[in-house]
Amino acid sequence: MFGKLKQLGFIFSVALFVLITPLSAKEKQIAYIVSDLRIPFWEIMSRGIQHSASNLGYEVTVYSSQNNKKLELEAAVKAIKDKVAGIIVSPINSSTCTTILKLAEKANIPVVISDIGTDGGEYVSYISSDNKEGAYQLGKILAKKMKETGFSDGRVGIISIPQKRLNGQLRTAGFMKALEEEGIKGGDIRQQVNFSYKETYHYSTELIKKYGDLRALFLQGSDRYQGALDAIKDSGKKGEILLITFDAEPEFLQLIPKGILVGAGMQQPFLMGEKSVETLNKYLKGETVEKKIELEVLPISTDNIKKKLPIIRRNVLGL
Amino acid sequence: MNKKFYYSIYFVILAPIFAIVSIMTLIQASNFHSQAKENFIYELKKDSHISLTQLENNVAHFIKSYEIHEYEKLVKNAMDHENISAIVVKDYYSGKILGNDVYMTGSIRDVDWNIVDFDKNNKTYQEMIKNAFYIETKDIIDSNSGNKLATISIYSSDKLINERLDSSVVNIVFNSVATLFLLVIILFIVMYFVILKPISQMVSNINDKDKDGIPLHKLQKYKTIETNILATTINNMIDAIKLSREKLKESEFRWTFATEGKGDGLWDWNMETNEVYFSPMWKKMLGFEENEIENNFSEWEKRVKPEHLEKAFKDLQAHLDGKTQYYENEHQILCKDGSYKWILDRGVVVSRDDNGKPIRMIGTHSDITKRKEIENKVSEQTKELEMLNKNLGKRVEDELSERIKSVRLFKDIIDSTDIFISLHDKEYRYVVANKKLAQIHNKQPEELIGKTPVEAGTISQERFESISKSIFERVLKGESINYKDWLESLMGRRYIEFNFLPFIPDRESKNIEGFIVISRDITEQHRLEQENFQNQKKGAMGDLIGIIAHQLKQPLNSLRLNKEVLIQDFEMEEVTQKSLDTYSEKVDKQINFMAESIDELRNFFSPNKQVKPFFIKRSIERAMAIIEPNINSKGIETIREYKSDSTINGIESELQQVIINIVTNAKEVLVEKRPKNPFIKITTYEEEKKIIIEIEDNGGGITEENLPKIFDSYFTTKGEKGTGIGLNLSKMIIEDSMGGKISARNSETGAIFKIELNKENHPGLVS
Repeated sequence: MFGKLKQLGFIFSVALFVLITPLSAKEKQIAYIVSDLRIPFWEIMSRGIQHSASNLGYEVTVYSSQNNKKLELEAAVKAIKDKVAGIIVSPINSSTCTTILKLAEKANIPVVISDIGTDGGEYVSYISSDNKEGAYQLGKILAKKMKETGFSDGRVGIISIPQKRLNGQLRTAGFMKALEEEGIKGGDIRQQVNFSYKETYHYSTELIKKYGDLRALFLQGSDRYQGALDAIKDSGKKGEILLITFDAEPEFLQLIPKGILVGAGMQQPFLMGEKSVETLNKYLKGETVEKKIELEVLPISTDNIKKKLPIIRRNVLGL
Repeated sequence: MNKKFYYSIYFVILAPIFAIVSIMTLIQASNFHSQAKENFIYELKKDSHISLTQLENNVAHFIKSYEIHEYEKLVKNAMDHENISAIVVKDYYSGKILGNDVYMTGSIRDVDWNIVDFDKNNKTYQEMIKNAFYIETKDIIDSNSGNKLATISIYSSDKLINERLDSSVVNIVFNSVATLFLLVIILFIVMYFVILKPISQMVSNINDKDKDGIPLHKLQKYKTIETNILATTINNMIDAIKLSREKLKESEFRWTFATEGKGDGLWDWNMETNEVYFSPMWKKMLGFEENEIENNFSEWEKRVKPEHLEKAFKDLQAHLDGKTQYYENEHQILCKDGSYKWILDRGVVVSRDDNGKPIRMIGTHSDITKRKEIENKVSEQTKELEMLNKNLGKRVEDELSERIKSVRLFKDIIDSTDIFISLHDKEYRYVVANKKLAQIHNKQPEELIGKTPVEAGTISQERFESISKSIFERVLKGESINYKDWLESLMGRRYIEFNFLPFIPDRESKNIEGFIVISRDITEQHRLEQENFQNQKKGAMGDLIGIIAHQLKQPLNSLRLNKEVLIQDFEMEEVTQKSLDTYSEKVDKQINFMAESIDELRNFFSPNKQVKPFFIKRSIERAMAIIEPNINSKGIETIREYKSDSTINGIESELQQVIINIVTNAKEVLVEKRPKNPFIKITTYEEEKKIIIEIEDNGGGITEENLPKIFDSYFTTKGEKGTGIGLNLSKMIIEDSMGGKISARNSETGAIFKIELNKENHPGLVS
């Protein structure tokens, strides 16, 4: 008797949930929690998301965490409370992402991770750049240039992002693989800690002084490229040491054709944002989506910049 | 009823060890369990506390920076202490943001002990933390504001402790059992080699015993002190037993020797079983074999002559009752052959029980039958002696008178004879000497009595030393000696034949008490024999000369004939150098033959008749050289077979004479009888130390009647022609002169003369 009542209660609850959910869950509302919109990369990505969401009929609420974990957590709680249809997150780091995923999972809200990644938890898909292949292509571009300029027996120094990070490890591995294949000697590596101009300048100078045969520098992040250029210039090695970067800055559209930079590996944040919304949309529509999607990092050099400019403008710069 | 159990040394030693080790193991396991549990719990609490302290120090920062996942990682890391079953964080700080008072998170171990995220709604998890073995909780306070940021609770489980304790106890038990097992095996091996094997060897050694049950061999040395002491002690014991056994045997032997040695039998009576040991001598005394009498008292009792039995028992009882010092009884016992023997039966009780009841008695049987017989005889003879004594005086008188008569008669007889008679005692002293003997030494018989021949002057000291002494000694040893010699006497030089005979007065005892000398004067007889011998030799020589003359006649005739032929040839002028050489050769041959014949003859008649060694072959050949041509001319074959060519000592011509004599006789018989293929065969060979010459013919032999007489003087079968001295002379030469022997016998076709001569070795002599 009692058992039957219990059973009836359960069936009732399920029926109520099914009825209420479409009404209360804002089906066309999605949240984008991003670590810091002040950074152009995320800003471009945010535009890509909004562009795609608009196309697909979603309303996007963008929460910039300002690199503050409390804000990020509050954004997550807010999104969950608003019962959004889905969340796209570009977390402060992979650890905070885990908590967001945990909370979302409890609230039964699907999450797509757009770059950075997570330490754990359940998500729909993780979209990122193919760091290793991108770095590999950059290595090839640099090697070609070194051979053209007669620097093939010189060394290459690396100023890297922290190697604790997976994307850092992949960038080093891909780049080194290309150098090995081309028979170019690797040099020392310096890891960025505070990502400042001063730091980049200092590491560049140190490498130049330490290795007399240094013929190129590879920056795994593009934002402090000026530090490296200044170090080369100040060391009296201008024109003798090549510079190539992973990621790109808008001004590179001038610097690369001029030959000040050999080339750059350009991620496609706009494309990545679009892809995130598309993937989430697919999921919400019940389609199968890939758990991990890697987007090409465009290997841009003096040789191909003109040809690739339209793609760069749209996918990289969101123009 | 009370069956007694004997335990093996293995059991005795190993059982307590087993028990002790088992108990020790239990105690150890128990101690370990409680000790380990304490330690484990201490460790658990310590781990819990350390983890909590570490979390307390580290999580506040992450809580405050809303890095939930970071402190969740720390919590997960803290779960590395495997006794910690759950860590639950009540985050009040994040809770505010997340819309609750508290945000509960943490890690917990599921049923498989895997670390999973804590879910406060999971009932199993709630149950698990509720039943935790140990819980430690701490509040995390914000050091700036003093607000409580969070509460961390660490739940520890004793699941692994219990598992580990169980496993440790199992290990301890297993190790103990393994140790015990190893210990038992080692102990077993050590005990086997150090104790049991030596004991087993000792037992086997001790069991290898002689018929007396005493071990044959001593125990060997062992490597351990204790076994060695045991072995040495046993060896000493064996020695002691052997020694006492030997002493016992010695005393038994003495006793047996003392009794059985003098022919006494032994008996040994066990009164408890009524068994009696009867010694072999006891049984033999009555004519029984060893197995024919049983060890039973009745064996004696039933053989005692019934009328002696009562007294025997009476004497026996008296001793058993202690009334006599020993038992002694003389009685008769029935032997196997049905006769009775007198026995002196003596014995003594050697063992009594505590109540003085005799239980063993030993004794002897002595055969006193002879003694009893002698006693009887003595008593009979005593009576006879008494009777004899009365007649003895007259009988002695008569006997003496008879004996005196006999002595006188004997004296008269020996005095009346021509031969010399004397009787000597063992010191050679004259006991009897006849008148003839005394006379030849110009003495009276009485003067010789009691003196030795040297003292009496009948033999010179020199002759006694050189001849007589050795003869006397030989005769006193029982030899009879015949001996001839020349002796100087009052009647001049006389040839005497002595006969020495041992004097044995008592034929029964055969004791030689002295010797008798009987001698006679054969000077005249000897002279006649010598003359006869010379005559015979001359006669024989005549015969020989006749033979030689005939032998020389032939070549002389031949010479003469050759001379005539030569003269005729010369006259007819037919003499050539060649014919002259032929004649010359023929003549030389004849002359040589004659010269040789004459040489042989001269040699034969050579006055140098010295006794010296010579080869018999040469002697025979020389003799045959003289007579052989003549024999061969009669168509008689002469054969010689020398199987011996040794030397002998003598006068060579005399042996040749004998050979010629016998061979010539044979020739004459063969000429007369004319048998088919007549022959004369001379064979020499050796027999022991003698050289034998046999001369055989096939002339029909000698008649059985004549055979014993052929060597006698003047015996002849030749009728008028023979002188009869030939064979007699041969016998004298061979036997008297050469010390040999000659004999004759018949063969199937004729006669064989056999000459035996003593062989003399003369290595330097060349034939």
